[in-house]
Amino acid sequence: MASSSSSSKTGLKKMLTLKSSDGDEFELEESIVIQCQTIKHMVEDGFSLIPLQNVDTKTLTKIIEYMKKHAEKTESNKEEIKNFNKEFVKGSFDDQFELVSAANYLHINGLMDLLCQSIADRINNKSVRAVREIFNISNDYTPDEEEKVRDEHKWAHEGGEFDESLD
Amino acid sequence: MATSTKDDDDGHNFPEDLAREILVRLSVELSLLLFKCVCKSWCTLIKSSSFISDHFHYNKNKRRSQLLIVYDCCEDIVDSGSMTIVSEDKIGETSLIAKFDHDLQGQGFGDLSNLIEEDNSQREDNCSILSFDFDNDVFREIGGPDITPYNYNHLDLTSLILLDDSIAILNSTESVYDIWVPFNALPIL
Repeated sequence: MASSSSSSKTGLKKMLTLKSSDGDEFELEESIVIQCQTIKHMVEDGFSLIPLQNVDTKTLTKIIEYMKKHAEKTESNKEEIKNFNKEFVKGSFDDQFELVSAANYLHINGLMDLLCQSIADRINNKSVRAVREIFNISNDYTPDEEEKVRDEHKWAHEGGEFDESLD
Repeated sequence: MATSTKDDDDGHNFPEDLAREILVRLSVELSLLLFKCVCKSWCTLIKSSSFISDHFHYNKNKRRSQLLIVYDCCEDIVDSGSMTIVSEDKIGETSLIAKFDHDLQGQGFGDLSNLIEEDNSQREDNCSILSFDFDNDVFREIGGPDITPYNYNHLDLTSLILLDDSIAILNSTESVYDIWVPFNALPIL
């Protein structure tokens, strides 16, 4: 079995355990996990078991998938990483919001940028109504107030078709 | 009590720091002007001078025309000096430059409407604005704001300003200031 060589290899590497808010533990090489600034600082402070109270198992699994892939980044696999990123941002808005919230908490800058850009691209040209739905924001304007804000740049509201879809 | 950062109540307020990270990546004319209407806190955010400044710097290298909106706080951004030239003609016909005044530099504003009025043969729709590169003696046309079907003519525009190292056009109507930053203009060196 090939495990002897791989285990001796991993034996040299420092391992860390991440614990999700659901209590699941994930063991990972330190070199992968230090892409995440929050964890990096904890490692520097001597922690090897990192509890992540704000990140559930589902989200953490996705984030680990991202960190593993990006730890492999070299000059020659740029295309592969690009395709991976493209697939990675394909989930629903709610999934993306969970991820972006976790990426923000964990300070993974590359992931933060990827997710925010993807969400921005998806909501560009959406209607105001659709954006409220997607972000689950309730309209706190009175009709008069909203009309006034709308009038500040009326032309922008008249500029053609807006995307009403919620995905 | 359990500490949870999300879905705590019916409001499910989307965290403002995350909203900011997303909104700063949106285009002004396609989205931000509309999204002021989403809710009051987004409106306050989008109008805040710190957001405007972040948005400007974030998008500075994207090389596309940008509109910034500034509300009664333009002196925060508006620096001094403008070295931009107005012409009725297309780029290349530099001999027809209506006027260029070195004194514009340091004054903060070049008053575009005055420059245009000096040439009374000028029609609204064939005004153009040129930037001038002092090092290379090169003129380049600055395109107007690209928003269709809205017809934005240069006579609406009141002032040329220098925003960091870019030429910008300031248009004010009542309490609203629009600042157009044409990124195809040569940077001021």
